[in-house]
Amino acid sequence: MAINDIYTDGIASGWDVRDASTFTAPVTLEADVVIIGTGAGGGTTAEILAQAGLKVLMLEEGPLKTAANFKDMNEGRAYAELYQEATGRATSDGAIAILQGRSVGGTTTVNWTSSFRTPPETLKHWADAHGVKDWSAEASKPWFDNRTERLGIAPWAAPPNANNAVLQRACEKLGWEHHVIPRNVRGCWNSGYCGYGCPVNAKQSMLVSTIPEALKAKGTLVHHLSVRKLVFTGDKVTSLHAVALDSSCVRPAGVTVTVRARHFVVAGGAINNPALLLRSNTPDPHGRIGQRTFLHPVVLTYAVMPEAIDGWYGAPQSVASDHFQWQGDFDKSPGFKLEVPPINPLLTAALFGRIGGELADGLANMKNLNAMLALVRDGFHDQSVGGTVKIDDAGNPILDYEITDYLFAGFKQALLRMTEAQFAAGAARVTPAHLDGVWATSWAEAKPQLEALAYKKFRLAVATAHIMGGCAMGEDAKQSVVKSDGAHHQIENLSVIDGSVFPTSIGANPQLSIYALAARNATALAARLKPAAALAA
Amino acid sequence: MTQRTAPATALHRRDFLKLSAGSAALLSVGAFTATLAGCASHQPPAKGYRFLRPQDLVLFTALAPAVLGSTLPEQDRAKHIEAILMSIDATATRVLLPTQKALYQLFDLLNGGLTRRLTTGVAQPWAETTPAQAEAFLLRWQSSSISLFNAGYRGLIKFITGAWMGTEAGLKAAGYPGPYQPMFNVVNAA
Repeated sequence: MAINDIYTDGIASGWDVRDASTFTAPVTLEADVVIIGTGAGGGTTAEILAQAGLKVLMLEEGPLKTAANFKDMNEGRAYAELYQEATGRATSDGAIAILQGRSVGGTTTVNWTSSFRTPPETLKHWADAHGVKDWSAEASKPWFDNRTERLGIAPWAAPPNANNAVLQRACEKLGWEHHVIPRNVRGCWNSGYCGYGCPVNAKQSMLVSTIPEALKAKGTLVHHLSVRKLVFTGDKVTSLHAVALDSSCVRPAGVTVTVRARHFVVAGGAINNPALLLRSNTPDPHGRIGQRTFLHPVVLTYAVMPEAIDGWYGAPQSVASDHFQWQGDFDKSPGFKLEVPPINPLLTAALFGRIGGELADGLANMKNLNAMLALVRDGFHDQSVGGTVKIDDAGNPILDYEITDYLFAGFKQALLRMTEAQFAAGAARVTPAHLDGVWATSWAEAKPQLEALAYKKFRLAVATAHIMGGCAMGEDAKQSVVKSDGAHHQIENLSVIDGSVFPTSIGANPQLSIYALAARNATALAARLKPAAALAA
Repeated sequence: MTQRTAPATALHRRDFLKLSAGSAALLSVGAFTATLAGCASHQPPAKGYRFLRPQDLVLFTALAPAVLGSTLPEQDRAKHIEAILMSIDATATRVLLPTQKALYQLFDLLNGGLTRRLTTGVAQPWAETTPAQAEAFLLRWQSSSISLFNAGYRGLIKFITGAWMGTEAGLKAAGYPGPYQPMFNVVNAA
């Protein structure tokens, strides 16, 4: 049974999908709305605007890769083709590794499917501290319901795989809050290959859900196209300049593309959005572009379990704990959410930090390996103001992110709790992802080690897969880039609709937070643009 | 580095010593750019490669056995190392310019005679280095109190380990049984 990759048939039926790497001469395109980026924000926006009757043009820097490309189920291929900088992206000092998608569908094509609503505590904090209006728990609920329905989001009904069961068992033993993770899947095979691109279209990524619907509604998709600059005339964007990339999606192919549109939606994600706005000299009277970029910095502990875990198979994330998320002394250290990552062999080994005999020991035990991770909730304290995106002379994004003592205090708490959890679940031995980490065989042995570790950059492994902020929303133009509905404070026909508008991190995997807010803002934008479009028609 | 760059290298040595004394907390892979720049040569990549230069290939060929230890089989070792080099090259090609610059500066630091001796403790060129000597260098950077070296250690081993695990032989060493068979068989059926 060959899997229908959706796009082959769609293109045959007349979908307007163009590969910019094949362009041989400069191209000018026009649309009602151009959407830059096809991830959670751009994909959601495209479907809603196109179905409202607007002529929508989607631009994607990465390649179009579909189920047909994912059937090798190969990790190395996925990282090279589907991730920003082939997973080599990092903060400017190299201290935090960044996993972020880069293909049609953006990060939704490669994420691990965890789909949480924005916690009410976060929504309240946004209203109280960041001037976000009309996005309370009550106001947002219909939009979360709407996206939950649209994307098949439901708590994972099958039993957790052995890797997630370790966290579940630990929480039960220790009396910690834990819950089943909702996932955006339909007809999931429980295989565990979400991070490499779903080979059976089960994951309801933008690639297989909203983008096809936008194309059916006469939208256009151009991939292999890097937007370099927005062009302003007065207080409006009048066009954008883009360059086609070569077939490998690395270098400019030498062909330029110009796009004219009535409205411009920036949806390239945190890091890329601020870089585009900065390259374009977008009005920024209060210097807010690129500020408050958040990462949910992740720290990890590894456990060798007595039983086989085979953490490379099965739904990657199905159990989480918020036990330390909203109760604690957050003046001392931030809260965190506990989850497990899949044991994808390449990713696991590359982050392991050991060489020679220690690496060989780790690899030999990978079948029995459980890893636990803490998503640290950054942005909720004055000692956690996030990073700053700036650009180099060529316009490339550079993310500076300082790890403050406050964050290190959170990392330490997280390592302690995760280690305690792994031993409670029966681990034979546990070590933190830290250069000085030594395998301990009991919680009593591990605890003093973790207390005494040097909590320093590079000694402690830190990574992120959730890049948020940098174009913060809020009603106060001195504190934010866009209004609560995504409309730019100074430029009337420019919106930012994706996770870059979050004024803090979420405190949970962010995809559903992006979907719901994007659905609300795109629906409002359609209503705003539609009368004029109808007139023009 | 060739003989004629020696004066420049000596200058950087002074900068480097100043750095190691005072501002370790500010150091990082990125900081190679600011502190050790200058000897980044504009040399073309090695034949068949798009980023790595001939001396970088020698460097990684010396480091890979130390990093991978017994997970790297003796049999077909040259073939495995070539696959690792090709994979590192592919990744380096795909990172953005600021990181590419930092990588070349890291490689130049390691390939410069004086800077190599000063920072790695390895006296001879990489082509003549034993795995034990390469491992001693890596552990020196691993245990260093200078963040810059910790960063270099993490970067180098991430490249090598990631590249190795991108190969079938590497995955085999990790006990990975291969793609989930029930699904793989179906999606690959004609």
